[in-house]
Amino acid sequence: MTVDRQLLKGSTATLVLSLLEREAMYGYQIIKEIEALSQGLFAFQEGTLYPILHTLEREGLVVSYWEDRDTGRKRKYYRITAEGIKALAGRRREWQRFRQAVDRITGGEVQPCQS
Amino acid sequence: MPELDNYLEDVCAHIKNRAVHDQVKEELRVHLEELFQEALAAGNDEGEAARQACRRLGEPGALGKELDRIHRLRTDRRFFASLTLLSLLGLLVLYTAPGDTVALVLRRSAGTLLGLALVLWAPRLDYRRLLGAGKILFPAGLTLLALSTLGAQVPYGAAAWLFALGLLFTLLAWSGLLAELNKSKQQDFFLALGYLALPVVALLAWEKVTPAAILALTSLALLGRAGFSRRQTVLGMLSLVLLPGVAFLLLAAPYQLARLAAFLRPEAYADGYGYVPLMLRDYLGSGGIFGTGIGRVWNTLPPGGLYNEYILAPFVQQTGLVGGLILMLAAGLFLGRLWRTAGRNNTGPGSLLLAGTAAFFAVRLVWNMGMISGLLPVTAVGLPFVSHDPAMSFLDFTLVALAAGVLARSPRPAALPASERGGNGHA
Repeated sequence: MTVDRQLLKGSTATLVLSLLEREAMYGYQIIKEIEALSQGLFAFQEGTLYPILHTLEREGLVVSYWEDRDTGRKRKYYRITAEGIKALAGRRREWQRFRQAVDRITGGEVQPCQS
Repeated sequence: MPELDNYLEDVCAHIKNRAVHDQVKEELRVHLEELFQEALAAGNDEGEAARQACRRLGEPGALGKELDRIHRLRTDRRFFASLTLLSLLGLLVLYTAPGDTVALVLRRSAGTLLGLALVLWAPRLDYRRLLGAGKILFPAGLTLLALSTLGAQVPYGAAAWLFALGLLFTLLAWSGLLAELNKSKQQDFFLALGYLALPVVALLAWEKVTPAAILALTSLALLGRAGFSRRQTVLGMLSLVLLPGVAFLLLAAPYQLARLAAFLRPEAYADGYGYVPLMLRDYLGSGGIFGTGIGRVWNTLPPGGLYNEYILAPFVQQTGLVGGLILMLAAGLFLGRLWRTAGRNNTGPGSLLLAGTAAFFAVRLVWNMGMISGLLPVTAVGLPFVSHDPAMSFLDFTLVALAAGVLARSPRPAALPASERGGNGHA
């Protein structure tokens, strides 16, 4: 089962930044991590990840570097920057407020606001 | 696999910035190959596995268009507009200089058009390659500066071009070399000071006091941006001011000290070095608020600097304080734009180049305006994009073109891709 793709719009960059906060990753690895952590709920059209990664890099929130593989090919890894960590904290607060507002309206469980 | 190659070609066919094609292809190829292996492991044949891999990455045209939008090289419009305004005002200022200036204005107009075209084209040039050659540019810059000081052995015109190229190479080398240093190593801090101080001291030794002072002040901005600790930065800045200061006192020629004395008491040296400061005071004083009107100008300044370092005085005489303020405003707009964008780039040689370029222009603008108003000693510092000096104009437009290249590649508040905006993206 997957969720309505409209629900994910606007959140993918936050998901990506959250994963990169843990460790540097390459594109395919990010997709797999999101699939695994969401237990298959978030299934991407995988190419859409790259415009997001390149935009984050352009904004200075992540930086990329190439790493050699045994096969001779290289992988492009992305690492979050200090600015990216700051931006992620802001997006998390925003997400918290959004979720609480949705919960209040839809009658879900309301968590106390932490920010 | 031809299917995978075709897919990558399709994506890149939509990306106009060819400089990113190889990287995009390499990155997407790795992803496609992983998907291909997955599909093979699931029992598909090679053809079907390749088709599945491409399908999972998405429609190549849509992906290519998204990547094109992100990687498109654009000249910062406001930056370009502020440069154009300052350059056009520069032509007007040249036109108002005493004598028949029409031919000069026409020649400068052609140069200005070429310069602006260079700035528009420059984002296509990858400045990073140039800055990566700092170890070659640094000695080359010093050599050119040395050659330009050989006096009568080098024709004046050639000396001016050698000098402008020497300054250009030095600024580029500084940006590249400082970016490469390890900011946590004490040894690299001293290396940075050496890089910054050497051309300044060399210029002082060659009696080029004004360029030395301009470079010394520019080097402060570069050191401030280089990323050393606050303590190192302050110590370094003090050294970069004190070292050339002491060197000047030790190496200054008598005529240079006489000029300094004439700045402090121009009336006492009215027949010598005090003449120009007194004339400049008269030009400005006679202009009043609205000026004497275009065409009503004296011609009492030495012809050598009339179209160059003193060019502002006749303009302010004819257009008054209002004209002077408009020019200052245009120059301020241009510098402000450059400085703001330099602040947006936090790391790397591009950031240093922007900071260095902004400081290099700011020092000359402030000095020239200060000198015309009698606040700073009179010396051969022209006004960027206003004074008539082909070699320096070449240097200025080249620096601005490189800055435009940095801006085109710099992090900016980009709009999110369609998939994030709630358009026709996929999730």
